[in-house]
Order: sequence, then C-alpha cells, then structure tokens
Amino acid sequence: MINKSLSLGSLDMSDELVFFSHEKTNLLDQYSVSFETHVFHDYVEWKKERILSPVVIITGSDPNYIAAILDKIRRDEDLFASLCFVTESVPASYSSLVDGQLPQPPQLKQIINQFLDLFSAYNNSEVHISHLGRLIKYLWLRPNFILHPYQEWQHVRLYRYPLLEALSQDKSDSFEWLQSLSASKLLEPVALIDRQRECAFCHSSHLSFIDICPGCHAIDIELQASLHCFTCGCVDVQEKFIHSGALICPKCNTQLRHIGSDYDRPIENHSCHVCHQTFVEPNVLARCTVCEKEMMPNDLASNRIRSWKLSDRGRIIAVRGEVFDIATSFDQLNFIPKDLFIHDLDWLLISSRRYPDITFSLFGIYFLNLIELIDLIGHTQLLQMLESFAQRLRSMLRTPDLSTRTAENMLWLLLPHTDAQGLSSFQKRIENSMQLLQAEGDMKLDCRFISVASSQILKSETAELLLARLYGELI
Amino acid sequence: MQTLTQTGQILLVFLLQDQGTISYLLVFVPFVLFLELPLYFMTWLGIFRYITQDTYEIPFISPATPRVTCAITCYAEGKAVQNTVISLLEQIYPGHIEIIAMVDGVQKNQATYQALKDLIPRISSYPRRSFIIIAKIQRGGRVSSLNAGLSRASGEVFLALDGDTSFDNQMVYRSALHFQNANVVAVTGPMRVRNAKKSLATRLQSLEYMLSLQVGKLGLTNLNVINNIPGAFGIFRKSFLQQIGGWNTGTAEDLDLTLRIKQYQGRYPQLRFEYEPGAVSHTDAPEKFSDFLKQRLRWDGDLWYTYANKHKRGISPSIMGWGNFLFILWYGILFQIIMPFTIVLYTIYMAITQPLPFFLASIALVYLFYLGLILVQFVLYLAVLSDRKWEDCNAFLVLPIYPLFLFIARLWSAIALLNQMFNKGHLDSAMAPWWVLKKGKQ
Repeated sequence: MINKSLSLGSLDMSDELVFFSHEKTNLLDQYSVSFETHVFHDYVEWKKERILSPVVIITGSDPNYIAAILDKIRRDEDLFASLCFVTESVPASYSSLVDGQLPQPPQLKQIINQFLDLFSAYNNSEVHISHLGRLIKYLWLRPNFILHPYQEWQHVRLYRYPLLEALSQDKSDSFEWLQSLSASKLLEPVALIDRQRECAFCHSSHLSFIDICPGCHAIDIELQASLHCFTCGCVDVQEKFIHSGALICPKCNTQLRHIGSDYDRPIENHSCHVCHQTFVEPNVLARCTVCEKEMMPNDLASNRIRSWKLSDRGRIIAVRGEVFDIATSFDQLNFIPKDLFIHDLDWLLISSRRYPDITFSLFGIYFLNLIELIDLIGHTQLLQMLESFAQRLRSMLRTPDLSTRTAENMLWLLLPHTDAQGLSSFQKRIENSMQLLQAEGDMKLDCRFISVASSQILKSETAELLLARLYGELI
Repeated sequence: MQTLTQTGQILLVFLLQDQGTISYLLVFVPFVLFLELPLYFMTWLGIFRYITQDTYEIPFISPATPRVTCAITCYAEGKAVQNTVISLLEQIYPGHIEIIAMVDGVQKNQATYQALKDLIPRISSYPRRSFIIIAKIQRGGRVSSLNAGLSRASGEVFLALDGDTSFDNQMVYRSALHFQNANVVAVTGPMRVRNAKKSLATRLQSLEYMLSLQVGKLGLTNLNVINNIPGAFGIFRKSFLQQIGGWNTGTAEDLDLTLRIKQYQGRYPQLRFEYEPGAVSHTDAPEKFSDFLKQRLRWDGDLWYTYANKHKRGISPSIMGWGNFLFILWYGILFQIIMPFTIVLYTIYMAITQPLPFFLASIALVYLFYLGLILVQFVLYLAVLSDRKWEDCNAFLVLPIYPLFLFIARLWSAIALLNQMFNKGHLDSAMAPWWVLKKGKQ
C-alpha cells in the first residue's frame, strides 16, 4: 500500500496510463510513445500491483467486460476518481461512470494536466474515505459534471443514479443520500426531470390503479351505458333500447330520436356486480406491485427526480476540506448571514437617526476578477490569496464589527462607532494592506471599495436599498 | 265598411253563383299554371316516386360503415354548441365518427371554445368517436372554417354542419348508406325548426321548412335536381369535395358549391345528389320577425350575387347539362328571382287599375286559392312524409296566416334582390370578415 501514500496526484505519475484489456489491442503503440502504459487483463490482476494512474482506459467492445471493470474501478478506494476512458460504446446505464471516448495522446496529456491541477487543489487532508468525501472529490475533479439519473423500468423507483451507487459502494439509498446532500447544500439541482408517485411503504413506483365500487370496495364493477326515456321515464341499459339500428324504449315503444328532447343519459352509469349499487364515479385505489400494499392515491409519496451538480459550498469543501466561506476567515469578527446583517444595519440606521451621537459606517469590498483568477492561477492559489487578504483584514477589524457576503465576490463590513473620519482612515489602511498583498504575488487581486458613513445616508433609505445602491455604484 | 260589403258581395258572386269565375281565374293562369302549379306537381311526382321506391324496393344494406367526419362551424353559439356535439356523439352508428369543431375567431368566442373544451372528458365514454377542436385565432369566416375542417378530416364521408344545429341519432347511419353508391357525391336531409314553439315567427318558419324544404327537396331530388345543399347540413363524399377544391370564398358558399357540383354534373351526368328523409336535423330559426327579415335579406341577396355575379357564365346547358339548366332557369331564376318582382308589380297594377272592392276580392280569392293549395300540401306532408306527425299537427294553428306570411316573404325577397343589385349587400355579411368577402369574385 505504499502507492497510496504517493497519492494519485503527484506530478511524476502524470505519464502513467492503466489499460484494461481482455484482447489484443494496437492502441498501446500509439500511447506508449508519450506515456508509460500498464496493461491488465482484469481488476484482480491490477489489484495485485495497484498501479495508480490518473487515467484508466478500458478497451474492447464487450459491454459485460466494460461494465464489470467500471463497477470495480468506481468502487475502488484509490481508483474511484480516476478519469476513465473507453474505446467503444458503453452500456447506457454505465455512461455516467465514464468520462467519454479515449482522446488522442496530445489531448489526453492536456486533460491529465487539467485534472492534476484540480487534484492538487483538492484538500486531501481529511481522507475520511466516507462516500461523501468520494462524491465531492469525484465531482470536484470534473468541474462541469452533472449527475443525471438513469431511467430503468425494472428498478423499483424507475430511476437510479449509478454513480452514487458505485461511490457509496452500494451501502446507501441514492435518493435518501441525495436528500441529505441537498439539505446540506453540497449539491444543487440543475433540472427537474420527473415527478413521480411512490408507494408510501416501500417507495416503489411500480403501482397499479384500480377502479373500485365506492360502496363495497369490490373491483367487479362495470361501466354501463344507460338511457332514460322521457316519454315513460324508463331507465335501462342501452342494449335493451337498440332495435335494428334505432333506439326504441322497451317499455313504451316510443322511438327515441334526439338526445335532450326524447331521452338523455343518467349520470349514474357504473354498477357493481357484488352489491348491485349504481354510482357516478368509482373510487380509485393504488396498489403497490412490489409490497402489495393498497393505499388511496392521495396517500402516495411524491418523488422529484432531478439532475444535480456540485454546489459552491461543495467546491469550497473540496478545497478546504471543511465547510468554508470567505467568511470563515472572519469568524472571530462575527460573520453573520445576510438577513441578520440587513436587520442589524436597519437597526443602526434607525438608532442613528434618533440619536445623533450614534455613528457607524458601512464598508463594501468588491472583488472584480475572481473568475478570471481561477482560470489564471487555479483554485488553490486564489484561495490562498484570499486567505492572506482575510488575515490582514482580520487584524484591522474590531470585535463588534460585523461582516457578511451578498455575493460570491461582494463582502460587506459594518463598523459601529465609526464616523466619516474613522472611515477614511480605515479605508487608507485597507488600501495600504492591499498594495502590500499585491506586491507579494505577481497576480493582481482586483478590488473596489465603497464606503458610507451614517451621516451621509439619506433619511429615506433602508438597509436593503442602501446595499443595493452601493452595489450598483460598484459594478 | 261599404268596401268590405262590396268585397263580400263580389266574392259571393264568384264563389256561389259561378259568374265570371272562369274568366277571372284566367288572370291567374300565367302565374299559377306556368310557375307554381307545375313545381308543386313535379315535387309531388318526385315524392310519390320516392314512396313507391321506399315501399317496394328492398334496399341492399351492406355492412360497410365508412369513417365519417362531422365538421362543425362554430362562432358565437356559446354553450348551445354542446347540443350539436352531443347529438353527434349519440349517433347510433357502428363506424367511427370523427367530430371536428372549428371555432372561428376564438379570442372573441371564448365561451364557445370553453363549452367545447368542457366536452373533452366525455368523449372517452363513447366508443369509436373522436373529437378535435380547431381554434382559429384569426377570424376567417365560414368558408375558411369549412376548408380548415376539410383539410384535417380523415373520414370518407364529410358532413358540413352548423354549430346551432343538432341531429337525430340515426342521421349519420341513414346518410352514410347513400355513399355505397359510388355516384352519390352529396346528400342532404330534412331540416326541422328546433324552436318552433318559441314564437309566431318560428312557428311560421317551421311550417315553411316542412313544406318548402322537406317536401320540395325530397321531390326535386328524386328527379335528380336539387336546389341547394344547405350550409348548415350538407353531407359530401370527401374525395369529391377535395377534388372540386372545397368551398370558395364569398357568401352563400353552399349555393356556390351546389352550382359548382352541378357544373361538374354537366360533364359527369352519372353523379347524384340525394335526399335522405331519415337524416333529420334540427336548427334554430330567428325568433323575431326583424331577425327573420334580416336573415332573408342575406339569403335572397346572396342568391342574386351567386347567380348573377359568380356563376354568370356557369349557368348554361353546355356546362351543367340541360336538366339542371332548365331547372335553375325555372326554379332559380324564374321562381326565386323574377316571381317576387312579378307578384309585387302585379299587385300594384291591380291595386291601381281595379276598383278597391274588386281588388280586395281578388286578394281574398288569391288567399283562398293558396290556403287550399297549402292545406292539400300540408295534409299530404303529414300523411306521407312527417316523421313527427303529432308534433307537426301544431302547425295547423298558423296555417290560416301562412299564405300571408308567404306573400310578405316574397315581397321581402324582391327588396332583398334590389338591395343586392344596387347596394352590393353581399359585402355586408356577418358570415365572414369584410376583407375575406372582398377577395371573392365581385
């Protein structure tokens, strides 16, 4: 297990390729020029050597073989996150487990480099190899990955997530897991794909709906077309009226020619063969074909089938190894949620209007080029940069100062007991520190500042309006 | 008072003492002999031919039940349109019936559209029936609706129906039977007035429908001349309809289509129109006299428009055959267009030239003559044709004033024709927007 400590990400391994092939392949010649290739016949053979590589390639066209290898790889503790390419088509249910068709060596090299960059940014510190950790890692390494459900009518719930099953090593129910993932905001929904009813007992979607008699609940009911003769009031089943292509009342022998003037149809046209009741509408009963329990349609559970992607929060965890916000750098300084921040700002606004001796200032920091920086220097460096900026900021803030974030790149500071004069000196210090920070690195973290002291705020403005106005001035 | 006494005396002389009656009656001869009586005579000849056929010929009824498309033109009928659709769903017909409801100007006629949509859940309880609603956002008139329906139709038999007309439940079966004869291209059936008991106007119109539409059509069809396949109730072979290009723009599209089929008949004399007394439809007649007059102003005006503008060149024996040509010349032109004027002019002439009592006596005599004629017609109708004899007996109540009604209708017809000739009344129709009508042949 020495290989494991080397970790998949070390750059010296970037030219390793693991091939799985059960037949002769001529691909090797092509790839062995620029890569060091290792060929295994099957997973067991690989397990003996445990050669780690960022890329696994499965050759051949036998779907069963591809499926068996994929199952093993995605469940393996070390290989699960590797890029996996195939040379032929894969069975549909496995398409979410592969990263596509094998690219040409130059492109493959490029892909591996991107992958390793992301890999080095991934915080492996907490290698609690829980399936949550695996999922976050898997998704982090594939920035635009969308977790799609796979529809399979044989499955009890009609949809499954093959990737979740593999990463959890089949230990947890995908839907329950997804629920907790979305509750903890690690994943966010992309699109609603289906909304289906499920058995309230076993969550199976294999249901059958049966019309039953509302009186005795028997299923032996029948729709009977009945007629009502206006002349004599006779009500009977339609068959008794039909004589050689015309409707003739069996009781009074009147010919019924026109609906509405000679006859009509009674509304009650279902009848039960068990209790002989006639009724307008039968009741509907849902029966689960898996657990065979019966329930009313209203009692069925509703399940929304969605596609998912890694949320910002999930991405931050991937990098920090824990729940991270820019705000965590300010947690000693009372980082608070936006709603609370607005509430406090409102309170201070009202207070300062009533008591002129109460002063405060609002300071906004807007990061212009976060996204460009991600592309330029990668997540790791950017987060380091932000971290050191946050450290400097932390040294400048006082205990009662509050901070919040209204967007990924918009930070607000609420500085109580700071008048216009105090504010300007605060801004000077921040600008100085910013210059120092930029002098350290070669990349520029582009910031804009805006500030307002309580004395400059209009009477009519509320916290929300104020924030919106200042934000508008910034962008 | 004195005038009336004198009138009475003259009448007494005429009727009881038989003095000069013959010579006086001869004054009527040109009218009665050449115009009206032969028509009645011919009509009844046709009816008796039908009755003998119906009684002695054992019809061959094949089990074939072609797919049928019922196209309903809907406009501002509102909830009443449901009756039409339900009466079609209720048809006792073993084949498939496709119902297409075309709602013209759907934004303006939301109530109609909603009423149709409300029916959708009910369709599934009727086997072999399907229902399509064509919501036409841009109003295009009846012709555009009918052609839209025709383009969507999947049936072999195409029924062009009105949203305010409903049908007896044997209508489809009885009319579809005719199409077993490959030469039959169009069928129509009796139209009855659904709201006959509503007012005097509807009672009179109900009687008129019985005598002129039912009696007239059946008689004429058996001689293979038919005056018109009404727009509210026309049954066609779809392939033929498509071949002649469906309906043409302009008002009186039904008469226009009939004339075009007749022109086709000139080249293919084997083609037949038929009349099916068992395919009964029920329609709403105008309840107020003013509305009745408005309706007739349109109908009679359209008649002139169609004969004199659209089909000026089509009405010739070489195009439609001698039978149809003579019939149109006689019934369409003479009876429907020239006669109203003749009657008006003759009445005015009599009023001026004859002494008042003598004029009144003549009018009374004319009245009695027509009353007698109508009575005979009606009794014959009741005895032989009526499918609702008891209900139809109600018409006896208005029989005495029916000749007067007919006279007024004739007078009005003359006015309508004049309006059309000098005022281009057809461009003022409620049947289609003006920009559609303008595109028709002027």
